[in-house]
Amino acid sequence: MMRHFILVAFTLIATSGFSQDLIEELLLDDEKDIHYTSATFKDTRIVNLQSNETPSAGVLHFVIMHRFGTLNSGLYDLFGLDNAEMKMSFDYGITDDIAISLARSNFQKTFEGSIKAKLLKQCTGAKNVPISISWYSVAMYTNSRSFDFTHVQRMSYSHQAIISRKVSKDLSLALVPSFVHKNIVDQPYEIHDNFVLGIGGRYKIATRTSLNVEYNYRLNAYQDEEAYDGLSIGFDIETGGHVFQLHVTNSAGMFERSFLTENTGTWQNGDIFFGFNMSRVFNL
Amino acid sequence: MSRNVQVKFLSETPIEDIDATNDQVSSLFDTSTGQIVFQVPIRGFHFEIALMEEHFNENYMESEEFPNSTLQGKIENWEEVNSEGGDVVVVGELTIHGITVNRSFDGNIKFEDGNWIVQSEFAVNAEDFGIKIPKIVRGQIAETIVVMVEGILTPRK
Repeated sequence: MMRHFILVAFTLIATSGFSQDLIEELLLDDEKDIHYTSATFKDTRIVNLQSNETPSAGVLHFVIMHRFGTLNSGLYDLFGLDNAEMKMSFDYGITDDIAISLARSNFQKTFEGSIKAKLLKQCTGAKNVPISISWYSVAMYTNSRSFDFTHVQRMSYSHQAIISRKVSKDLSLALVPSFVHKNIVDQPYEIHDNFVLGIGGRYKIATRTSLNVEYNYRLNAYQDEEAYDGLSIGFDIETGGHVFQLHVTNSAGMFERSFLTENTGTWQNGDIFFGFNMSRVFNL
Repeated sequence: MSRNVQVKFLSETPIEDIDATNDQVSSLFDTSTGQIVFQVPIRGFHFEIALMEEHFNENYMESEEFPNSTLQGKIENWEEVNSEGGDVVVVGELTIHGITVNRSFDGNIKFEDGNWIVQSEFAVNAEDFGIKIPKIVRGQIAETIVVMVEGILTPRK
């Protein structure tokens, strides 16, 4: 009896050991793939800043963005909810790495046309690249009749390099050196060529929810300028084909010229806006 | 290592059917003992809709943490079918999402033109492997996923 037991036990150990060898042999021989890091950010925007992400090929990514009035506007304006700036953006993925976009904000009645391309993609495996770099260029046209400008004067441009890294599955960081050129400036303290360093990140607090922060530091602004660096804090909440981004920010405008260089309020004074971006993807 | 095995899965609900195909599956088959192993890189599953693929990797399979699924097993009735093949029962360990479950699989193995060809279809319960499906999408994602395996096994030398 005992002898039988030992025999059975020995066979079992030998069997499982052998199977282990086989899988190790397979792993050893297995060719290495390149694994591109996906979902550095849940959406194509961190809050206002672009993230490294673009819509996939053939995907229309439709975004509705709202910024309500300032929270310090009191009960009369229901703490800003009575007033809203809004923007609609249609982003389309031409390839998995190149997207174009058309957008319109009611803020200064601004039209935007932009292109975004993934130049370098973070990956591991057979090839190891620690960061992603995307390029974003946008042309903005302010159609507001309250300005007496020519068509050319109404144009402004921004170019950004979005350098990002998904540090862990929860933490992603981005550095966004940005340039904003305005064909005409409206205020005496404004300058034509603005350099701004955007810093942003996200931390996943649950599988489908992340905390997002961005800060846009103006590198060559005048000391006495009546504009301020932009700070935004918010949450991304993902449900199926939608991403809801809820945030508070001192940027009222939702296009680069405005949120990088023309924030008129500060957090200290309560000049902050509650807002959201709501995106939906359509597979065309 | 050749990757001649294809794994597909299918989630069927009244609202929508979701399927994905993986052509990066490697296998190793010991014809002397009937031992068989498969390695399935999770990021190798491709979906028709890119966002589904992202959610599959990010929210369900957590493929950064658990990059591979494996099946390690032994053909129980190998003695009977080892000349030209036939219907087989594989008993072994299936590892998905870092969780290992002991179970058996029905399939067919046949020897054709110098190759061992495998074919199998089995059901996998997402919950058994700690894969949570939120309430909001339960109508669209089946609890029980049908897995189909087909291809040429790589024999152990």
